[in-house]
Amino acid sequence: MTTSPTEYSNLSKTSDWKKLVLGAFWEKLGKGQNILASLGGAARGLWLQEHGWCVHAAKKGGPMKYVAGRILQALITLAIFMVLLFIATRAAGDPAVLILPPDATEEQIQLVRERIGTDKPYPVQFLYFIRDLATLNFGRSIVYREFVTDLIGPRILNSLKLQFASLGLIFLTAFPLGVWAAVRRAQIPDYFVRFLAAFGQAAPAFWVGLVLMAIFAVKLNWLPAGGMGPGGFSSLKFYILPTISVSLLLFASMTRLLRSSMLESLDAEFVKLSRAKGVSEAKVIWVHVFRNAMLPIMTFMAIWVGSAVSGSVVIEVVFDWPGIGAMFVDSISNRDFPIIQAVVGIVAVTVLLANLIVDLLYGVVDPRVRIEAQN
Amino acid sequence: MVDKTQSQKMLEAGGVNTNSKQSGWYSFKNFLRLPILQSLVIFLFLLVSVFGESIAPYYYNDQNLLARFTPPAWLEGGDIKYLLGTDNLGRDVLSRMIVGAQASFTVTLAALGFGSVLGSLIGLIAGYFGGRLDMFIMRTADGMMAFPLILAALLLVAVIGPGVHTVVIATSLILWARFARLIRGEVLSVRERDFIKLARIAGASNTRIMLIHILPNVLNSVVVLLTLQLGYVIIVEATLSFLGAGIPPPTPTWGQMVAVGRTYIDTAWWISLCPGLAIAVVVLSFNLLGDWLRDHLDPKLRQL
Repeated sequence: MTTSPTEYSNLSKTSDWKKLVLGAFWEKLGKGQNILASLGGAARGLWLQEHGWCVHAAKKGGPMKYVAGRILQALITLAIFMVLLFIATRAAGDPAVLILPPDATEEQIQLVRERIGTDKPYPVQFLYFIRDLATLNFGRSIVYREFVTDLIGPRILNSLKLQFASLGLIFLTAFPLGVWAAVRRAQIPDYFVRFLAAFGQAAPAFWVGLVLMAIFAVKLNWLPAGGMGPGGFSSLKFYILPTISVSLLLFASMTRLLRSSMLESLDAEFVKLSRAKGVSEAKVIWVHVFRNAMLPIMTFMAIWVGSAVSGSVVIEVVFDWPGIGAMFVDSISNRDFPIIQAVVGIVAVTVLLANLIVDLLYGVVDPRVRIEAQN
Repeated sequence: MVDKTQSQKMLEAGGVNTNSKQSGWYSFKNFLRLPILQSLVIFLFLLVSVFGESIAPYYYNDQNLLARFTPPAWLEGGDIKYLLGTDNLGRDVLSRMIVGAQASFTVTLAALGFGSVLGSLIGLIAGYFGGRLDMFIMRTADGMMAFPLILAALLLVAVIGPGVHTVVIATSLILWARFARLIRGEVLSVRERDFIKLARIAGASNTRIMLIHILPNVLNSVVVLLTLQLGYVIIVEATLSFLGAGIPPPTPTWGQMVAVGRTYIDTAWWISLCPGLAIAVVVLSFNLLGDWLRDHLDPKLRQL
């Protein structure tokens, strides 16, 4: 993958262009000129520029076309997400009314409207919305009266701790078991692993968590039933039950996926050739088969970033884990829209970013993806 | 040994066992592979869902405060009148589970119906017309699939309030993308076949080609995906109910019952154990049946 310097300079030109277009746009907006016209102009300029870049890269061919196409697609999806989120938050009602107590007068509501900018037409509100999201300025929570950023920061950290513990557990268990099942196909290990995976996909995570809690925390009294512990080494036992419950679904899907893609690779011609050449069985499995089986798992990891959020929402409620998921469920019943908006926005960007990275990695690992994109 | 036919000889030359004495074990093994147990569970689930309240031993909201926290019948202190015990308000767990099955099944069916029809049509259009429209639709579908369903559903609950319609809308919002992706891929390959070109030469309109010529060729993929998604939708519905974002009380759902039992997990574990186990068994049956259907109807979908 060689990239000529001209392509890099082309890249930087694009970002300069973006600054120019956006700068001109903000200037126009400040002077109070026709907003819709400038919005349309900026969008067209941006689109042409993005597209022009892609066309240029496409003419040159090479890996840049793949990268350019993927980034463009991710930007389009992000734009769709943001429009949907904006519509959803505005459909819930006027934020000014939600912020104020129910007995607020009309003048007070109007005052707040002017302060937070919801008296302006929707396109302008949308731009404010995007600006706030981009600068991580989510305002204050309606219930806690504190800045959303201060509230959710430590909570996100707690959730990440749980999710990374779960990821570790999955890598330690799903990989050996998936490979074991594929190698011992239609034997006892295979049936055992497949049963475990089928159960993991069928049992709802919140119920598994409750059953584990009933057995190990209530009945046997070995482990704490909830919370995160005081921190440090002694709080490790607080991680055990939530981690297992959160991991079960991904463990099941991962094992199944690994098993089936391993089986596919085991059947391939290059494996037969390596065996015929006299390569050792361990080398065949771990070098040739396993590497090819990695490809669908990379895609899976991208999807999992989203699913981990769902998992953390449920398990944090079950085990009183002080994470972002539990807080999100609380804000739903409180209709605390600044927090809801912040969480959904952050998750959307994270999910898209993960997808983009995996797509690009795919292009690096598997040359066929790049070639297909070029044709 | 009786005379062997030519075809039998050829099979034997190819290493295939044609001896009927030995094939008894094989046919037994094949019999075991039939999805009998899971079909029975699904049949029972459907039966209970259809008849619901009329076969429940008690009215689901009848409270018997004197018989609160009665354990299941086979345990010490259990009462044969309450087979699976009673909950914190003395309501029969079994009756509530039966009515809950009805609620879950209705929501699942509605969500799957909306999602599959919408998704199949969108996938049909995207695959058939291609180009920029296709790219736009598929990017939206990718985004929808990547976005966590529970989060989207909870957002919807905050905006339009909890209820049956919220669960159905939220679930089908995500489901359509899965169907659209699958159908689009299938359409892409069917579109290039000769009979489509002939239909176009004969002057058939785009709508006619899509609905009469392409759709029947991709329908069995839709059926397989429907079965595979059924279990998933049941779990999503239960999860939303557990979080208090599903069908609101007094209508019981399995997820809601698990949530109620959570408070009493230290004393009355059966309140949440029984409905949760029911979810697991039903979903497992649907998944296994879906796997079996996929292997026999549409083996090329194995990656799903």
